[in-house]
Amino acid sequence: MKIRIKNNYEQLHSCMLGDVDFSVLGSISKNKREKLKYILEQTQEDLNNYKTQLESYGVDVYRPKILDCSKPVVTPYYETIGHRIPLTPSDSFFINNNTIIETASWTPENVFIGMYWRDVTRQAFSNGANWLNMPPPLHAKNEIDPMDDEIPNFDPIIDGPCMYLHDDIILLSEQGAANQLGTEWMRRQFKDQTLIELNPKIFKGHLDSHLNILRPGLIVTWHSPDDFPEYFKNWEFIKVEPLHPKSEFIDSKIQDDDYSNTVLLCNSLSVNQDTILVETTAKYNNNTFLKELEKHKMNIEFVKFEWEHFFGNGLTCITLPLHRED
Amino acid sequence: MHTNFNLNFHHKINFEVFHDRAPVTVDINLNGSLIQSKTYTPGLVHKEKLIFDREVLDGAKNTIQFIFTGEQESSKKYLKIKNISVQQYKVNVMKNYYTPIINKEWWNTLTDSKKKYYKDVIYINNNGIFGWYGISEYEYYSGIDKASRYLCDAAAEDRLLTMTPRFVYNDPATITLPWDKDEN
Repeated sequence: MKIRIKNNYEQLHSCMLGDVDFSVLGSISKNKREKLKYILEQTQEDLNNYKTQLESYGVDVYRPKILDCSKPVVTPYYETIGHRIPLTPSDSFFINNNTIIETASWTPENVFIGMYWRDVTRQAFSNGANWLNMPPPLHAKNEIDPMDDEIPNFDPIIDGPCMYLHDDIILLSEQGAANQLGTEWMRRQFKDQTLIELNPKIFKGHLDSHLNILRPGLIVTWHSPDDFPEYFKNWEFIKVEPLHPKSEFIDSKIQDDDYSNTVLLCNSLSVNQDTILVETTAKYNNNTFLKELEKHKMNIEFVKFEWEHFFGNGLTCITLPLHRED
Repeated sequence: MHTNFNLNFHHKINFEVFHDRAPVTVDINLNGSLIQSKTYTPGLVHKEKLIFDREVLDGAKNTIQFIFTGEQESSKKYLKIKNISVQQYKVNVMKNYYTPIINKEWWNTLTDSKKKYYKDVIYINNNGIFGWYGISEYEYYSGIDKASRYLCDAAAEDRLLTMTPRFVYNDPATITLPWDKDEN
């Protein structure tokens, strides 16, 4: 297995694809279990179909080994009710060229997420990839000051999607799912690259919900071009409309209004510079986006991930490209 | 009154109730405490706007519960939750936990595809419209500011499922995303 990522649009050869873990239901309140079991069943079916779609493009798809995530995590500093399901590998890894980094999450329940994917990282390492793991945060409650920021700055913390790689640069988001030490940790790993911190008031949290570079010079975003740094001067922007007209019921695919920094159309996954995978909801709620893609001669293939709005995760959250063409 | 750890949050709920031929009752609770219990006469669409302030805790999960009851069954009855806001933050009316009271004999007569259809309706595809008697619940988390979100034990279930917990902060000025704000 080869690890090689330089951007988000060259030909995709292999990727991780998340999965659900039904043992999580043991950690969930009884009144919610029936509903969540139903959603997990449907999601599992969608993920398996998504795997088939990816394979039809010649992509090797790696899935997590399912562990018992209802076991509490106990450390000297905190204890959890269980472990996070491995639905969103991109949250927990960042791949830059042939280096794969297991990132440190602000979520204590995420601390051993790399174990779900250990078969993949072992294989990648034996095939020559660099394999790094950020120090796990203590998440010590006695260190937290009520006047702290959203994520206190004691240990380096940064979710994988707080970084967006584009060849020689890395775009950074330092708020929402990262802290200053997290971005500094990354700067020291990648001294030869330019790290550009985006305006934290505008680009907060996971950047794949804010922008998606489809080709050199072509970017999808729901922000104004004026919000972008100099690097994007003279680029062409495809606008995603962030607001659904109202929180209205359309069908089972659309059941909320994309809150919390998440505009899931941005999270569409490029197979290559000409083909993009888009969740089927887009057929109903944002024709402008699809028309713009068609105008740029993109082939659009729809992927059913019916509960993406329930989870707040899009296609780029549930997949992690491991190898794209150089 | 606000203290360092207790918050007084402003709630607004718009809902509609109907039964074609018998009275129905809607009880509304917040965290197990009754906010309003009201019985509605049949044959009329009752449009309600409930506004109340209640103390909630910093870093806590809060549950708004609707209990829809009546003596007589009818296919022409419903409770429709049109809008919920807390401190001007919108609570997604489509994200609910619904436990309907369903006649098992009727359920057992359904084909698998019909059962799938109704499960979709019960679990997600209901747009806040509840046609069976039963309990529907909405959740949000309360906090003084965003520091309250980090390590919020009450939100652990959402985190396990990779979901983003719906936090409501004390200051409505913290609403930066237009789709988070209730304009009504």
